[in-house]
Amino acid sequence: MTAKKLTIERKDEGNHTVLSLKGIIDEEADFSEAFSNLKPNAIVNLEGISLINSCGVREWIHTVKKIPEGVKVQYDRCAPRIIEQVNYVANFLGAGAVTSFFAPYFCPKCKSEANVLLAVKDLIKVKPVRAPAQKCPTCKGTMEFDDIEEEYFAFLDQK
Amino acid sequence: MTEEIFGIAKYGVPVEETIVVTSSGQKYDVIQKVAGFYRDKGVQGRLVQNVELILNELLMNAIFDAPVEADGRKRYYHLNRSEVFPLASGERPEVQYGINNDRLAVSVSDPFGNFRKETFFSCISRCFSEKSVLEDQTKGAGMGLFMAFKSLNQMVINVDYHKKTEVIALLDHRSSAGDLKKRRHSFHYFHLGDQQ
Repeated sequence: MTAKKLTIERKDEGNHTVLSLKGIIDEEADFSEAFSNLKPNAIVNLEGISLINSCGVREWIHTVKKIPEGVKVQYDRCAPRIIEQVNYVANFLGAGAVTSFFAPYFCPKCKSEANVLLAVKDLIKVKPVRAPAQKCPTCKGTMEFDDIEEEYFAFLDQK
Repeated sequence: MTEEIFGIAKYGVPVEETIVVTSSGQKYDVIQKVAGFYRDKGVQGRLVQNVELILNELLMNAIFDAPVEADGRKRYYHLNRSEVFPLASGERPEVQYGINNDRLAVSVSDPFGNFRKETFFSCISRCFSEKSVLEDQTKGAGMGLFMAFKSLNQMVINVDYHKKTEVIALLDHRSSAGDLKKRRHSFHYFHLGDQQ
């Protein structure tokens, strides 16, 4: 199953480093090179993460712990599997913050699934945070948020 | 308790296949095969991802944590989880999977029978209460079991002491992954033989 193995693309420009991660974060994940010598602003795109196992969580925690204090880290377009870990695991983000993330939706009518991108700055305007209504892209019916709102959005309560 | 306790068929789920794992490097081949089976059956994508995670964690436990020497020392526990090595005939885990109209079942068993009920409760309670502080450098400190447990409806652990451990994950595939989360997760432990 080599196709899903973790790949990390890095781009440095001015004061910014942009990292895009795709695949599985597991026991083989090696973040050392990609996360070294980060620019003062780092944007980490986690949209492409399809699975993270317990070994991957451990590797990830060790990596974010080592990010120097002077680096401002923003986690962008986080996949649902990442948000689950943000809520389950203490210090999963280190000193960084989520700027946007995907929320799972399900259409009870046509059984379609969709991950909808949500921006943190918009969501936290109203507390408690609730999943915005979504139209099904397939049948145009109303989709349901496919998780537990109190649990999935728990990390936003600290904002 | 003397009756047969093992197998997903006991839960009304016919066995599609039993896979014998002969190498530590076979993990993802097994996961891909089982996940492909459920996708072909029309199971919701997020539920299939749950199955992938469950198998990932249970296989690592069966390959690296379960094997013990005669004196009780763990055989592969110290190894990096990415290490690839062949598994001898007396230490090979088996994976069973299947589906019926209501639910799907996957199981991973090992021929050692060392899983203790207390191990489960200490892992789960620590992960719920401490939010999974990962103090261990090599292993997941029980977090894998917690992640698997959160991804299923019902976990059944069957142990014939010093002979066999089987962990069965049962998931209701009629509902969405979100509905699965909203329901209570249950844990059942059955054993044969003497723990000593």
